[in-house]
Amino acid sequence: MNDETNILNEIQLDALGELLNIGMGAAAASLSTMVKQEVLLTVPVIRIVHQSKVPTQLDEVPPENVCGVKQTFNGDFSGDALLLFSETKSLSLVQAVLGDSIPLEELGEMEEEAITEIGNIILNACLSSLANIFNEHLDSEIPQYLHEDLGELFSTDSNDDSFVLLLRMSFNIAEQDITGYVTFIMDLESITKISAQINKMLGL
Amino acid sequence: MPINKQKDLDLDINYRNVFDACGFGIIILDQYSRLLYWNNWVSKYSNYSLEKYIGEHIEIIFPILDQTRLLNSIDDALHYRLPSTISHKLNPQPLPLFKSKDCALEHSIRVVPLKHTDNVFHCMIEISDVSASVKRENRLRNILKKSIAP
Repeated sequence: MNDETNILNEIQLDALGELLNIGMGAAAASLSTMVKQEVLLTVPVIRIVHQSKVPTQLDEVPPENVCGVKQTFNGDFSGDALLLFSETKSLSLVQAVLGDSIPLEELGEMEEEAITEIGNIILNACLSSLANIFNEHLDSEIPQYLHEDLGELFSTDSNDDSFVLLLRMSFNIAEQDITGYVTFIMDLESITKISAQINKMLGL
Repeated sequence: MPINKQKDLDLDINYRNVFDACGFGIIILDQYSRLLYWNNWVSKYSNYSLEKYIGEHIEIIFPILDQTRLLNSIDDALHYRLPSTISHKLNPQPLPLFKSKDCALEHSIRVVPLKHTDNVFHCMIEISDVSASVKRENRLRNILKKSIAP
């Protein structure tokens, strides 16, 4: 297994964070118009970890099950983009955005579709920011709603060399702070390409 | 005669007839957001004829779209090749579609980029009638509320 600390250094991660935060501004504006209240989105923490270590990096006590949205993308670099919330946080999000107080087991397809749309807006903002770094396009599949066991979602076999670009996201909606995570699962080759491209952008 | 080549299939299927037979809406826009085609389903529920609006910019056809999520999604599909889901909960009536004069058609939308040539993308707007789902979920929620009421 490669040592994740060597793949992207602090300067590169800061540059990537800046770019993604610009994309978040556009996503927040889009969400604010839709839900008719101010939405603030920021990416305060960004790091690279091996896929198998993701569950332990999410919260002090990792949630057993997560809700979220997944978009598979292909292009100069490929992988899966996921926006994840713990079950509790996803309910806070539904409540803040839709004003509904619904237990998770009663989320109907209409609420799931609304969560899918919110995830889609955020993941598209991230994917277009990443595409801008490359000055190329990324092709993405239609977003999918997921409600899964966290361990299974990031389970790997011993030869798996997939890394995860992990972004902690902070949502501020209706005076509530809701934390979610954006994860880009990519192979080493894709991450190395991103690293080279950020260096080019920074003139390094 | 056996059909084993993609070329044969392309020639043998009249895609316009297939789209017109679909039980959901399909709108195809070119790279400048101009209408190339919509199917019979869209004509029926918008009460607009395809022939009248073909070649028009989508915002001219539906002025209601100005600065909406749907318009942003079309832009994402045409310029960034990114697909979008537009939910009924967050966007109750993105398009002016009606079942009857006084009854709006509740719908949700997917916007998908379509490769036209190497560098040019069109987009497809796929519209689903969600009236039955909305009705069913409201009914179930009401039953649940009554059952837990003291």
